[in-house]
Amino acid sequence: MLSLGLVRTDDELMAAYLAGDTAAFDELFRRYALPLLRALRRRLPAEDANDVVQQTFLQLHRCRFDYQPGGGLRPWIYTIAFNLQRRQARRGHHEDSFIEEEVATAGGVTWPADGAAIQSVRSALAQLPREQRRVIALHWFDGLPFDQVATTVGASLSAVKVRAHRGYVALRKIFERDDRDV
Amino acid sequence: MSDAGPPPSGLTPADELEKLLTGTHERIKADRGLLAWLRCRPTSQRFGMVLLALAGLMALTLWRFQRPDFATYPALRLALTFSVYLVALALSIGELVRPLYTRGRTELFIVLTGALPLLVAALPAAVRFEDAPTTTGHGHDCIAVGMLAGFLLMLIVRAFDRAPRVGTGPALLLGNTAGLFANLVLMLHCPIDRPAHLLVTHALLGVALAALFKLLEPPRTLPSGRW
Repeated sequence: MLSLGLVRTDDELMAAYLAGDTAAFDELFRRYALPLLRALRRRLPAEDANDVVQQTFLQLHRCRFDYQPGGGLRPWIYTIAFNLQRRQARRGHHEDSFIEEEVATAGGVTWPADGAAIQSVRSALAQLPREQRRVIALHWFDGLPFDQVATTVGASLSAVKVRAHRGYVALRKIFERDDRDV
Repeated sequence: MSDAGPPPSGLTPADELEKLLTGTHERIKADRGLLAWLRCRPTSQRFGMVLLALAGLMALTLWRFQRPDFATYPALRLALTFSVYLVALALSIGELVRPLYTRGRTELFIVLTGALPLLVAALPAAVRFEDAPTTTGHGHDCIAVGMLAGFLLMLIVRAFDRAPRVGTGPALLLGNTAGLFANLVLMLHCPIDRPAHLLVTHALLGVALAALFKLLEPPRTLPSGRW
């Protein structure tokens, strides 16, 4: 189905790329590379994150004949990237290295540069189990809807929602406890 | 779009994006030749081609290196064990050549492919083959044949695998799967049913093959200058 607007959908771009239009690939790259880079730099050193972004799009090129329209390209790209990231992760590099910046720009909203608040959110997130933290990071920091988060982490939609809910409940308890302590 | 973290080179996000895109184009341009063509095939075709190559190797074993008691060995026992091995092999090959846009179950398959040869080795012997070669002498033969079969599987799978480098989990799975295939080939080749022989020269080949793979795998290097 062709869109009437100027912006082509992912499916249209993939179809164009399969037909030999390399500009369509560039458009997909410009659409997804930067948010992906942000997500990866929370987990990897900058140089490794750049490498994974390039490898991700090389993989997208390699698996272009597998693509089924309507399946959603974004979870595809994120799943490729996180599979590659897991293979590349170095011991001792913490997932929340860049969480401070992510907290400050979460949801596209720039929060006041309150160092104490950022530190408090960062510390609270670090206390969550890894699976809950990952779901919240993908949903809030990377802006993925829950169905795409589910595809990316390889869990059912309901499981992902349960993890997010438990994560939010845990965060609330942590903040309430911190408030009492203050 | 918001900033992509601290750019290591001090570039603006837009410049950094273009540099990354140029590097990606270079990688795609360099991805040519027979291996690149094989890796770009749809997943079902890659899976089918790997199984076809393995079927060819098994047919070669049956033709040239068939076990001497093949005609008299209990057919049902052979068929059942062979089928179980074959199903496990197909499942683990599917996991090894799975596209990276899907989540894997590597740990589950490591356990499955590692445990199956041990279980088969623990089964009581089906028949006593009086004219079987001595365990020690034939053991060397089994190790050589099994290692060669497993090594060929690793080469075939890596030829079709799109992943750039194999981590510890996938390397273990690749080793175990190669061990599974080695056991399948040895089942067609070796007449010895003794548990000690099956354990040492058949079932543990997967561990040796995984170690061999990690030894031969080139170290990861960052493509400096590409981005």
